[in-house]
Amino acid sequence: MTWILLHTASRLLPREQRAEWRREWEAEIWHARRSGVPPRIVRRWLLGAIADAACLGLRREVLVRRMNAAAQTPGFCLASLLGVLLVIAIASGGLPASRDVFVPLPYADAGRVATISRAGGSISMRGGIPAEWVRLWSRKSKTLEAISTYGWSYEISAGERVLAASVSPGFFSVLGVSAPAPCAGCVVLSQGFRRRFYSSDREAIGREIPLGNAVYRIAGVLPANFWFLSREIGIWKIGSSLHTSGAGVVVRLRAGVTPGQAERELYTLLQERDFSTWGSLVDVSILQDRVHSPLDSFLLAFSLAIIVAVLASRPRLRNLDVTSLAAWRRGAFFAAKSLLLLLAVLLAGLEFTSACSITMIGGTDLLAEPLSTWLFLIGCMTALTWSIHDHRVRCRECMRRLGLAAHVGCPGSLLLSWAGTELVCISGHGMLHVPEMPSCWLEPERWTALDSSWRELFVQHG
Amino acid sequence: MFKLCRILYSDFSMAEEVHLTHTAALILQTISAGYRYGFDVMEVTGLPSGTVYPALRRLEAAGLIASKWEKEKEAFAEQRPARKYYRLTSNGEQVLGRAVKRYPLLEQMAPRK
Repeated sequence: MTWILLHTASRLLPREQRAEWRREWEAEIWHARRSGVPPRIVRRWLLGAIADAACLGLRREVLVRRMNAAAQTPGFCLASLLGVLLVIAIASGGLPASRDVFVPLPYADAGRVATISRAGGSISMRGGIPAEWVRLWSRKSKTLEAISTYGWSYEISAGERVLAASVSPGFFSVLGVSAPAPCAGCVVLSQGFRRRFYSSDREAIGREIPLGNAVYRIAGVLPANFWFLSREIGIWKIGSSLHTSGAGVVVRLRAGVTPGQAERELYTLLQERDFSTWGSLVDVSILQDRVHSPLDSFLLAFSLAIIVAVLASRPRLRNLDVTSLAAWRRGAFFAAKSLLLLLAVLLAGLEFTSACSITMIGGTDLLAEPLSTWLFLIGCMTALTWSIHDHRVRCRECMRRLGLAAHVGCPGSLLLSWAGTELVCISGHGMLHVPEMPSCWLEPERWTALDSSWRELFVQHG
Repeated sequence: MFKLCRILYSDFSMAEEVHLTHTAALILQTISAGYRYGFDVMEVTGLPSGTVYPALRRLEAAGLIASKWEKEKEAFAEQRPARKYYRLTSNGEQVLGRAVKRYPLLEQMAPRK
């Protein structure tokens, strides 16, 4: 008991003071027991050890010194990055968009559900597919099993601004989702919307809900895992969404039909009706692939960033000693740090830009667009640049961040002598010489290892 | 000039003088009376360990007392662990002198060992 308490309390002290502090307390307790002090009193005295340890260890200057020392450790770096991931997870409410990307779509036989847009991707979907085309395809297509349309807009319901979608009657059956039978003047609620305003499904069904200038009857509530376009959509109006200006189109392909075959057939059908050649190019893409497309964008950005990073670090990679254990440890730390950073970029990109995708440009998947690739590229480059820079200014042995920067030499006489900044490992492992102005890009900073005889000059931080 | 510097220095020292609380003065007086270990100080003063030990650290940090480990050989010969003992520094004696003037009953509270 005494041993546990003293060891636990001593954790409050800087490492170099712990052994002596414990020794003093153990001796005092030994003498107290020897003097015949009752065990109850000794136990009470022991509680004073906590106050004593706190007095020594929680002094402001000690705390600041210990925090500064801790902030330089690789463990702190990794813990901070894990903290960033945690913040992203909390701020986004449990990573819903990321889960949508990684989890299969909640549709029956989701591999056959596809969207049709004018060639050029979702940017063209702002105009949507004309109603005339949809009618033509639903009558004549042999590659499509079912076709449905959708549109979305923000509307006011009971004073609240909600995202509502209008879908054609066969919409949910195209997706293979069980939903109430379509009826005039009916709406279906998402589970999220139902939870916000009604205590149970039973309470919501059959009630009336104002939406815009009309009043609708709630026909049912969708399954909890259902989503399409965005999880923000709270109300689904089942009726006609075939506006003359066009709408989004979702189809179920016949079994065995590839998107390419469907594209060619739909294009041919349009050509037979004398639509313009360029204007009738369509793109059929499997919805599951489109949902996964942010990962493709990220992988592309990641690959580009890695290439740039490797090219930029070539002089340092050339001097890499792959035989030493320290080099492997440093490599593992660099990999872990970079991976956590890139994961943070990916999750932040998925979580905080997906909400804009539906409102900003009207597309269903902004992240699949070049814009998202650029976004990821900038994110990946920034992350890797920071990671490499951070790695450069760490001790080659203990991987703590180097400190005590000192400017050496005269920048005005670079030809005659060396000028730059020297950084030192606070544990005394070595020194990094960073030139003021590298005369050659193949000559990066230089590391000088210090032997153990130098150690006593450096304060060991606890 | 040297004299002037000394006067200025002593004035500065006076300005920097340590103001002890009654508890700290009592602990200082107890050590001065010959009770050299934390355990002894607690027994004589009746103060709890959570007060005595932190106060000893602060007094040591202020340079009023100094600590030293007793020799391992002596402790080993008596079959007991070595203890850390405290003694007053010359600065501590001066400060205690001023504290005794301020708290006249201090000497009676911690009689000589």
